[in-house]
Amino acid sequence: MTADRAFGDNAKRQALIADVRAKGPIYTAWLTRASIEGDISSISDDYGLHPALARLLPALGAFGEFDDALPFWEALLEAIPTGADTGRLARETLLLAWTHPTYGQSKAVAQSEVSEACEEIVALVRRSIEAPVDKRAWRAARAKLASVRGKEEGSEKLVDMMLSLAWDLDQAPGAAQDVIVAWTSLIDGEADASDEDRFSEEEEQAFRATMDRINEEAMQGLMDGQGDGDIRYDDFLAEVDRHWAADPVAYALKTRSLARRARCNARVAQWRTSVQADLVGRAKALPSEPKRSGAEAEPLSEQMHI
Amino acid sequence: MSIIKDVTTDAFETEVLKSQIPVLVDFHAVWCGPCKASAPALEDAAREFEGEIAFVKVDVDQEPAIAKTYEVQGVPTFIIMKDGQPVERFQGLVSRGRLASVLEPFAGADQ
Repeated sequence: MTADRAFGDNAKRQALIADVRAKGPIYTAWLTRASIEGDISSISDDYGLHPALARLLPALGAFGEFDDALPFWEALLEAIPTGADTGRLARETLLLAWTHPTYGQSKAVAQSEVSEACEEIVALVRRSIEAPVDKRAWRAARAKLASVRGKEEGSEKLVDMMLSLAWDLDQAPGAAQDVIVAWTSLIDGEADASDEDRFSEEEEQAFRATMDRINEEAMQGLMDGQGDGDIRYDDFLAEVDRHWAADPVAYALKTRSLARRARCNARVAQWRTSVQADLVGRAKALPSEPKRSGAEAEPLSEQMHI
Repeated sequence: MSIIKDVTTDAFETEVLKSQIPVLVDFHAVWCGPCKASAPALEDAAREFEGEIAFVKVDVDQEPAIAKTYEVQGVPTFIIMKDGQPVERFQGLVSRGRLASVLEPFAGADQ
C-alpha cells in the first residue's frame, strides 16, 4: 500500500520509454549495474514507480547485460496503466520466487520448520499487498526463519532469499533487488547441478588449479615484458588464452566449462523470460487509479501530496 | 546521508570495544565496488536493528591499524563485536537476507 502512482500522464511514460530504448541517461543510471550503488529515487519521484519495482526491474533484466532486457522493459512500461499502484506489482512478482509453478523455490524445501517459516513470510507478503504490515511482524518472521536455518541441509541460499523477502518494501525497497538476485543465483545453481556434463570432483580441482596457475603465469609474463607499465586487460586476456591453447588437456576442460556455462546461462534466460512475461501480464491486469470526477489525472507531483 | 558513521582508531575503543550493545564493524574502502553495493543493505539493517546492534564503518586505508589488529585481508569484511571481542565475521557483498540471518542472534530478545 503506497502513494506511488505510475507515470502521472502518458507523455511521461513515453519519455521514459524513449530514454530506455535509446539507452539514455535514465536507463544508464537505473537499469544497469550503476543502479546497485546509485540513487534511483528519481524513478519514483518523477515517474511514480514504486521504489521496490524500480529496484526489482534492473535485476530482472540482468542489469542490461543481455539483449532480451530492452524489449521486456519497454513492454512492461507500456503495460502498466497510468496511475496504477506498482507496489502491488512488485510484491506479487517477488512472491513468485516461492510460488511460481516451475521456478518457485517452495518445491526445493521439504515440509519442515524451514518451509513453515518460509510460508509465514509468504503470508506476510500477501497481507502487505492489501495493507501495511507492522514492522514487528516482519521482524518476528525473519527471526523465526533465522532460528531454524541450518536445520535443512543445503537450504542456506534459499533461506537468505526468503529472509530478503521478509522486509517492508516501503521502508527497504532494495530488498526487492536482493530477492531477484538471490533467485537468479538459485536458478543458476540448479542449472549447474543438473547439467549434462558436470565435472567430476577431480576435474573440478584440476580445472581450478590450472586456471589459477595460468592467470598467475600470464600476469607474471606481462609484468616481466612490460616492466612498470600498466597492463591492459585485453592484453591479459590474450595472454591467458595463449596459455590455455598451449595445454591441450587443460584446454579441453576449459572448452567443456564454457559449454556448461552457456547451457546454464540459457536456462537462466528461460527463467528470466518466464518471470518477465508474468510480470508484464500482471501489469496489464492492474487497475488504473480512479480519476476524480470532472478532472483528468493530475501531474504526479501533485498526486504525491495526497 | 549515511546513518552509519566512520570510526577512527582513536574512537574505536569508545564506539566499539566499550559498547554496551553488539557492534557490526564494516571494514571498507572507497575504491571497493562490493562495499558500495552493500551499503544500502547495511543502512536498512542499521535502521532495523537500531538500539539493539550498533553499526560503524572503518576505512581500511585511513585506519590501517584497526584493520591489521583484526587481520582484515580483503574488503568488505564484517566483524560483529560483543563485549569488546569479535564473535562473528564474514566477507563479501551482503544482502538484507544475509544480514538478517547473521544479526538476528545478536539482537535484543524483546523483539
